[in-house]
Amino acid sequence: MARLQSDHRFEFSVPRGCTWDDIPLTEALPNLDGQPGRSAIRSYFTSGSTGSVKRIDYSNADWRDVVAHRADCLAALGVVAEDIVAVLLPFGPWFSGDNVTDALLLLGATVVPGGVYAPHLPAVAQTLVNLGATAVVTTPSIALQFARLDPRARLRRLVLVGERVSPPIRRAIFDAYQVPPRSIFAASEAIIGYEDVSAPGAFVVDPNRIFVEVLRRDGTVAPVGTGELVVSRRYGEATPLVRYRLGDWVEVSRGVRPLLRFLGRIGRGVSLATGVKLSRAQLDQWLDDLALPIGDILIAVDHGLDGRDRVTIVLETDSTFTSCAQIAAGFSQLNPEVRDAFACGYVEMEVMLTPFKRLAKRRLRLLERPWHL
Amino acid sequence: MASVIEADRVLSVHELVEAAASRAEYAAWRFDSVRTFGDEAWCTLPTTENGALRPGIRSTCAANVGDIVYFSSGTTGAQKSMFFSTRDVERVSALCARFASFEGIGPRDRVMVLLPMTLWGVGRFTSRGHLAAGAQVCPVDLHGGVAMWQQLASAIVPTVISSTPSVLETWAREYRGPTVRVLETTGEVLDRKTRETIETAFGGGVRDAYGLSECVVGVECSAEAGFHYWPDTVGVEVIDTCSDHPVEAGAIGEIVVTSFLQERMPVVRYRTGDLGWLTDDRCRCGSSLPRLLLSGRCSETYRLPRGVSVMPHQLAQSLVVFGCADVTLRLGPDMHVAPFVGPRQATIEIVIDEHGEKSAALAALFSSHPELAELVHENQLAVQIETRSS
Repeated sequence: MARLQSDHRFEFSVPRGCTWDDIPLTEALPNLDGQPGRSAIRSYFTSGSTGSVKRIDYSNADWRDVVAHRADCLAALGVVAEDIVAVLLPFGPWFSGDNVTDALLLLGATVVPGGVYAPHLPAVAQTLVNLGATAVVTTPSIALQFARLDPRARLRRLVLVGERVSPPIRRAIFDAYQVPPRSIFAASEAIIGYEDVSAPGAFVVDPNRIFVEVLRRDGTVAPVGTGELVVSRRYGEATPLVRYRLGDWVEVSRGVRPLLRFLGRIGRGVSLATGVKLSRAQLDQWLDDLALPIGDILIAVDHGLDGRDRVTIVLETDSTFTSCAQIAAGFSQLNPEVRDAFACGYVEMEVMLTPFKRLAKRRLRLLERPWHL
Repeated sequence: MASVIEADRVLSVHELVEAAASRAEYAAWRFDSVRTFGDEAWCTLPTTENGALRPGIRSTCAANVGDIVYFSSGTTGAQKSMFFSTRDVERVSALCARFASFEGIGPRDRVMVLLPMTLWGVGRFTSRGHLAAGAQVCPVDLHGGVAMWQQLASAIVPTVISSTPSVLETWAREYRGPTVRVLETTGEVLDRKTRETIETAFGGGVRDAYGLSECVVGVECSAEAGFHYWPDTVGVEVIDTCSDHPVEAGAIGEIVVTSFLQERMPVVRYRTGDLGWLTDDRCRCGSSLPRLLLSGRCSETYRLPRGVSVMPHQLAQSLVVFGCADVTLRLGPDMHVAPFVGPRQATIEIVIDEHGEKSAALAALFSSHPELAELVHENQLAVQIETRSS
């Protein structure tokens, strides 16, 4: 509290004398414009709800902390210095690839920064076989796609990030690799925790680094219970996170350590193969920006077992105002993360325009298969 | 910058030789009499080529000695890996920090690093170098094309962009935004016309740098009269391509480099395949650092967008099991000079034995040359494989 009160970025939200409970929740990152860097900083991005990008800055000290946090999570999942690990995650301008790479180097592992660019994956697969790779850190979709490549490394560890690992996906990945996958729960804004090996689906939170709360349905904020995840990070001076709403629906319990279960995304959005999450609000915003008369609209995302996504949009509108190609182009550029997922070669798309059956309000339906958020 | 270099002290000749002597590829080399870089004993050492380098055994006693592995296609066609220890990465990044300081980049700058962030080390080294120079750094990979770069640039408002000439030339046609003070380029031959196109569109000065996946070498100054290099970080020699002996001072020959920054996979007397010459003459910029000037390639090389250079015999070697008979680059109508940019302006035509399967050959080619797979994916290159009766 003392540090927050001395930081002028919080002077309005953390007045002197207030208690923790007086601090309002926020979905916005602090405004960084004009902030003098306390030391050199690196910047990453995440997509905001309006489709514009949000910048997340790390000072050198912040970066050391967030790398150490990730390294502790990886170590808890069994990654050791002797491992040869491929990182199949998005790298700059996105956060996870660089962060995981530096965390693995901190552990003393040998790291192959493979990325998520589909044209590179065959070469990465060959490299892993040549090196005798022992572990991969990736998203569930890319793990499935990578499993189809020939030749394939014999792995001892598989660490998943970026997407929910539902029981069917967990089984499919186990069948493909004969290795039980373990997850890290993280976002571009913060690393939350690692999966408890003895309780799949439950994540252990380090209370010395992250303070978690839940915003319950009744509007109250509590340290335990079911609700939207609210995080406060105990490190990070360049982009402080205080009572930040992550948009995830979770259940938090507290024993020796806080334990958290991911239950889904707020707003029942959809996710894409590289770990990109699209909220209902983002999709509504995109539909607003189309400025078209729209009736029923279905957006379906089929996650194929080959790791590729097939997005189908069925749009009830007047086709004299638009075309399938325009809608497809617009969706593929909905925000930079979606644009990147398309550019990396993981998403195929089909758009169908249908005439109005009736005049009514716009009705958006989202469908995600085979696992529903 | 002195503190950065001191903290990441370069390897002495003795330390480098000691590291190299334990490696298989240097086992037959007679390092015993070498005292200094370039002495008589040094000049009698053999040279190395791409594909010959091997990682050594990792020290198990040192803490926090993670390795990072990057990609190299190799002249043999087979895939090779370049190993860098964490310390090596720090040293190479410290050299990149010298580059940045030499270009006048410092804490007031925001640097958009528009280079590959995976498989090849250039993006990581450049990003870390600028961080060490005190700048704010936004690493951005090449995926997504101009629209993506433009959107991110709007959020970053960079004062420096670091990329390849062909990427910046492509973007220059559509760049919208404030003046970018410094445009750093690397990876390709930068011709006068491309330099002018980039400087006109972005408003700042272009500073080119020279290096390979195996060894970062030097950087240009405002005089644009060759690449300055720091002899404590890289040893540069020019040899006669026939005799392998050093050429007369100032004469043209093949550039051979030795890195005093990389211990995990030592790079000693490495043949770059580039032709050029050296000069110690004081530069118009006032620097007394020696300079390297390039004049061409030793053998036929296809220079493609995004800093991709491949030699036809590399491609043929990677397809040798398919009975590869011929590799040809067919240029688009406007492709008389490098760099080659734009959609599908070049086609690589490959002829294999009639019994070879085209799809398998293509998969093998892309597995050993992911940079070509990337260019095809981005519609900047076409690859055609034909079969021919043996």
